[in-house]
Amino acid sequence: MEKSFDQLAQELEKEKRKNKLLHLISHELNKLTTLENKLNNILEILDTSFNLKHSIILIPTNSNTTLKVFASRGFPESGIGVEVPYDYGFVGVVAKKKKKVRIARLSQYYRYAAAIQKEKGIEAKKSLLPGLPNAESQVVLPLIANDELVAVISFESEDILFFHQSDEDYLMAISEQIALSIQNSIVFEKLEERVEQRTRELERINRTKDRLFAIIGHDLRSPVTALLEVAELFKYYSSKGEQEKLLNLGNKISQSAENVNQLLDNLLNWSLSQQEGIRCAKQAIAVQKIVDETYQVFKDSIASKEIDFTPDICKGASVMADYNMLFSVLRNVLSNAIKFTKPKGKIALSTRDLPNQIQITIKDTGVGIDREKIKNLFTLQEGKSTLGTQRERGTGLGLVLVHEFIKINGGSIDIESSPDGTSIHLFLPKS
Amino acid sequence: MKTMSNKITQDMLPAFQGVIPPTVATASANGVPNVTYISHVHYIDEDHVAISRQFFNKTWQNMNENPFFAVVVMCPQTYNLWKISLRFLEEKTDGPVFDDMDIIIEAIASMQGMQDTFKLKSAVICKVESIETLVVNGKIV
Amino acid sequence: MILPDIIKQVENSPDYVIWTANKGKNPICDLTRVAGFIIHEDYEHITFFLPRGLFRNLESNLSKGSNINILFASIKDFQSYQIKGNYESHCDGNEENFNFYKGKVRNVIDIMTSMGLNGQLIMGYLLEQPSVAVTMYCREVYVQTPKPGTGYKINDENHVQ
Repeated sequence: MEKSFDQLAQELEKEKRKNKLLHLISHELNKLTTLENKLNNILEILDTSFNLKHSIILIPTNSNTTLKVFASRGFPESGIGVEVPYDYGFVGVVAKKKKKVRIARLSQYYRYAAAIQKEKGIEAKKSLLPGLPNAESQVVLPLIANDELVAVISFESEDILFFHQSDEDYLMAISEQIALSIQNSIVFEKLEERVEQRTRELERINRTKDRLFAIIGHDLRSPVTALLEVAELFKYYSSKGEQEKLLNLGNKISQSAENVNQLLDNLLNWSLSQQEGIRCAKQAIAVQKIVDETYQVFKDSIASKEIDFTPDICKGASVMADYNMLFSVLRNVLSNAIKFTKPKGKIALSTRDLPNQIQITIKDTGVGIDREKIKNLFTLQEGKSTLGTQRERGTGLGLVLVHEFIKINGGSIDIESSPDGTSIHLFLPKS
Repeated sequence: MKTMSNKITQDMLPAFQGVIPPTVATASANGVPNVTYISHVHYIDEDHVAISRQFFNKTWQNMNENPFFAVVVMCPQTYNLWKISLRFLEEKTDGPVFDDMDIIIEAIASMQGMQDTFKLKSAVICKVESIETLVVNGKIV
Repeated sequence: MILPDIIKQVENSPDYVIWTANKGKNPICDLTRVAGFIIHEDYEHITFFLPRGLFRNLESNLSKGSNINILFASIKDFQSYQIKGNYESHCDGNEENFNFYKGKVRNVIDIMTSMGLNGQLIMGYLLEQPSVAVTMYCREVYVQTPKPGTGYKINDENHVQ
């Protein structure tokens, strides 16, 4: 059929509008802006240029089982943030099947559904999504980029035949461009999120490193200074020929050296655990054996403070853990117990057999820990260390390490404390 | 003068959008006609259409007795009217044609929690035997 | 049968469109639009009117007592009824007939226009002249409103079977 001049003029005008729209959309899509702004701007352009006054854009959530409203235009309630399942309504079905749908005379279908509801006694449900109360036409398109469903866009109208095939074809033609742009925005936002996360992580690590250096600088100085003092005293007593005093100095040297050694040991272990360089090689460990070895390290200190150390270990108690880590844990815990127990005090080490765990409790009759300090015991902070009953120094790093190592070995730690003493409960998997 | 053809042409395609419900007339084996409205005639290709089977009983019974029947469709843009003579071929309860026709019903059913009750029974596939133009530009042909 | 009350209501309603269908030797039914109808005083016969241009589709199928149906459908609420009957006679439409149904056709045109459709293009041709008046005997009336279980008969006492 030959077309009239008016018809041709109308078609030309329509094509011009479409080209203009394409240009506007392209310009918008290339802008670097937030996803929310981009989506709202797209809907605005489609409204002003294409007369699509009632529209909504939904994006699949991370679970890929629901769609969330990210932008909407022309509805009394925006519905932003509403989530619907993947197969809910037209948008859900389009998302599930990745197929476009164009509907005319919607009221007819709703009428049929209502007739069935009436017959079956089913109650009508209100739509979860924003929409026109008397929508007659609807077009819903999947926005697909790189074979991935990026979003679903839906347009509604109260006119019986608002959308024609040519409209649908045109919208599909620009949909891929829109999809790519949305996908880029989503990726960009995710990247930004990750950068922020990494920055926060790096800042945290930096702060930790700074704290560590401060602690080491502060706490390493004391035992080293003590060693220097002892060296001076050694020279003096040696020059004076005071043999007995020289012998006494031996203990002090030993103590200072042990403090330095323990600090360096803890430092190395903690550093490795932070870098994920430490390996956990679990094995069955007889609790009695490792407790005995730990006692050997501290027996002189225990003796010098005349502390009553009473181990009470269940026969055959055995845990599944890394030997070196557990040794470090017990050394640190026992070291603290000794440090904070007054001379002639008591330290009891006992075990309890639980269904899947062994509980090791080190209970001292020491000075106790302030409730406020218990909260921060397992975090690395400056100025945290407390002088022992004989002014023994520590870094606070020891318990941080204890906590790390127990966690790595699949266990947990609990602390009870009062001015009459402290109990540290270690829970480790039974072997 | 009547215009006759046996293929669906491009200008007819809007008539298959389901905007204006088509009318269908079938006849039983002994020649008793039955006329009713249907919701939608779905375009498959220039030689085939499908009818959504939801509520019709007598129409379906007649189709099985006498596969030849007529449907009148109207273009919602030009309001031209065509009578399409069809022959029932088969019914489909799955496949791309069924899925395309079911998508709207599936969507509405999901919103109302009626997936078990509101559904397309089948897509009735028909061959186009002939097409007669009845009205063009608001005038009887 | 005596036509049920609902058909009388349809006669007086402004929002019904009407179709007719019949079948001859050709396996395929013929169907076409109708401009208007009137119920006879005996409530068993109706006469419907349509332009001659559309009547041509039905004419070759007609013979005394041949099956002929008429379908009424409301464009507002989709209520729909079908009368199955038998052809009795036809004649040329006259001015009186035309004056009777032109108002009804114009009503439907107005309703369609108010719904956003071009009522004149959809229905205007029904006022083309000359027209034909076809009389039929009404045998059975059915409810055809699209809903589950549609297609049931209305009996003589206006009850749905």
